[in-house]
Amino acid sequence: MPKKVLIIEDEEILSKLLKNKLQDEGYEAEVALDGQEGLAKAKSFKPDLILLDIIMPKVNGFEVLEKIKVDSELNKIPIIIVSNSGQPVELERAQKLGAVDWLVKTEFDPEEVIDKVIRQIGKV
Amino acid sequence: MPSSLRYKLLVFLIGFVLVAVLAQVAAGVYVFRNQLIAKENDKIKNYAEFSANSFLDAYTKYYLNDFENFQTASKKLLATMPVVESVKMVDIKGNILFDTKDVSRKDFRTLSGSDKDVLDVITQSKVKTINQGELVIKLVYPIIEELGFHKYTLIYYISYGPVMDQVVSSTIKTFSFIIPAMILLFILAVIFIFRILGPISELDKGVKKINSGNLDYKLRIEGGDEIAQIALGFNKMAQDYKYAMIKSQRVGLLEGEVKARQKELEDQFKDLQLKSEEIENFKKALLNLSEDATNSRDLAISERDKTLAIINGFADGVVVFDKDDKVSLVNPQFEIFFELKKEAILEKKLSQLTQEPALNFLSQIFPKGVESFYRKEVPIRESLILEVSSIYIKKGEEIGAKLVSFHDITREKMVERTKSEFVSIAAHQLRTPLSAIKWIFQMMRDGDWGKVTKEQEEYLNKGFISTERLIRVVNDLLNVSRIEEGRFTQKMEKIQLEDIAKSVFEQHSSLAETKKLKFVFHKPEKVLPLISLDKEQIGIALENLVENAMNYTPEGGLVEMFLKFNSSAKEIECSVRDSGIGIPQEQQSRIFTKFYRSSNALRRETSGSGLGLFVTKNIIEAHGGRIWFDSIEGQGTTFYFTLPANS
Repeated sequence: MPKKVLIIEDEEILSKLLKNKLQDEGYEAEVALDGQEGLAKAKSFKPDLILLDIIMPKVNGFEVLEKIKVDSELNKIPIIIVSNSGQPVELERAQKLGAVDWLVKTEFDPEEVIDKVIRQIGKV
Repeated sequence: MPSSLRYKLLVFLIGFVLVAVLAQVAAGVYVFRNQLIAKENDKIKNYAEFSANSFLDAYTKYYLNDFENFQTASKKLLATMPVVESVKMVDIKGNILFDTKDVSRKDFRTLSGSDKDVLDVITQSKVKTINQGELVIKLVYPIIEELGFHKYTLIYYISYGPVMDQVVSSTIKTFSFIIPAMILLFILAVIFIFRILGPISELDKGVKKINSGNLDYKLRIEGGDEIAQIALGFNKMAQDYKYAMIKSQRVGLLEGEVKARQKELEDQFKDLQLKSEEIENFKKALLNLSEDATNSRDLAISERDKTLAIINGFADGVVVFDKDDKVSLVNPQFEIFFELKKEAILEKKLSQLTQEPALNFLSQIFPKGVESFYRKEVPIRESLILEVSSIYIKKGEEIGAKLVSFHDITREKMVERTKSEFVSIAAHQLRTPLSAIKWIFQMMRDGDWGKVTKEQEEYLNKGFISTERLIRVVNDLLNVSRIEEGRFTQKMEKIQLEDIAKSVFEQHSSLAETKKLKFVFHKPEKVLPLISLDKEQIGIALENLVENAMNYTPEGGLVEMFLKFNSSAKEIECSVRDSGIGIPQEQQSRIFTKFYRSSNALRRETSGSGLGLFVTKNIIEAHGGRIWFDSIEGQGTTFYFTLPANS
């Protein structure tokens, strides 16, 4: 059974790249393009890990974190924040809401994203 | 007429003595009486306090079974209180229990309902004094037993009448001694007057005689007093006058004397003329002086008016304090800024001004009175940001006045904010697609989507590096806008600076290799102490310095980094040295300015944003450190910065 990763990221190219990369590494990956869709897919897809963007339309990353935190079905899933700004204030808030790790889009390349994923749920 | 003067004095003296005596008697009686009443008033409460329990004792012990003894006891008590006529005792319902005025034994009789004072005391348990006439007082005194029970009330009837009679009679007795003394004094005065006025009327007579030509008249006044002396002098004068008259009749003898006197007078006149000339000159000089003074005063007034006109028409708000921080001048723009009338400000001290809500901020910028400073930014309200400067106007060494100006910088600030917001939004919007492009280049180059040729890989790598550089510029822009908006806050943690420096160095080593640079990291001689810093920001600062050194050093050059701990200054010093193009001498002062790039740097490398050093300087200074550099054009540059290592 391959490990499943849900990517909640509104930038289409980025999310597609991530999905490709993860699939290449042998993970099963799904993309949600906003927070609302992300929450729905988290329930149906039942991922082992979520990569979560912060600034998104409809429901933003913080709101997704808040909702997952109080959902007994989902709150065990580790979440890695994919931040755009890397502002300390933002990351601190995400950490308080239960995010296990974070990466800043402009500073990390796809390889490093994979590293972080492996660190959380292991290789496939 | 001397006789009439004599009589007038006499009548006045009699009247005066009589009035004085009467007034003395009346005032004496009045004062004495009032003093006595006041004294007794003070005493009556003491009487009641001291006697109340004795009355109660006498009542409970003897009243019902030994009335004789009760009477003796109560009489004895009354005798100790001369002004108390009688005492009544009532119970809480107002029933009279005894009355010392009533000698016969009386059984319970209800108090007449009209005695409200007594009932008041019974209900409130308070001592009350009631004046029932000027000399008659009723004192109602509750007996408060232990634990606050109030069962009995005593009513003291007090009259000062008999005491007063005594006062008046004793006063009159006192004055009966004074009156004969007064009469004796009066007689002595009459004798005295006659003795003085007698000789004076003699003098008057003599003067009249001499006036009428009788120079041989002699005044005869006995005794050795002043008037007798005057009489003697008078007699001598009359004699001298007589001899002078005889002398002046011998004119011939006098002519010589007259001539000599005339000469003397002429000399004096000449002398006077000289003096008056001098005075005239002095007057002229004075006039000139006052004219000069008038001119300079007029000049001063016109200068002052000019200055006032400038201050009043000034676009900046101005307020002038005197040396004691009291407002001496306020211009209209100041009134407009703070929506206050100058009447509400003038002559007020700084401490009073700060009580005005609109001027409350003054206590923050002048916590210890008005001090001089240059350009302090003060947001007053949403639509008003002022730049405050304060200068001392000195008179020689002393401070004469303090001028505080308020320059409106709202517009500049708004423009700055809008610009900063624009940069921030634009940069954010750029980051996401740039990340995507960078990732695509990288994944393609790394063969994620199939093998690429050597040539393709080279171009993909160039694309990747360019995108990275672009991301750096965008990041710099974002940091600048954060610095300017005041959002560049630190997340401090205790960290080993060497670790950060080393990782920054290692990240750049592959680039150094491609540029064929000699790239050296010098380990510090001793282990550096941990210091608190923002890891991310110090990382940015180090990256900027290292990248600058690499970008502006030609192939085959040297870039090296040093770290050391200065234990006396308690700071860590970091330096990045290169053997690059250097900074031209005349441009060195502007190197930390935002968007500034030196001319030789522009020629060499066109992609820099001119933001790196600005950001770096802000980061270092926000950490409490200093940053500086040495540079010689064509030989190289060394940038230094320090970070405090306090604890």
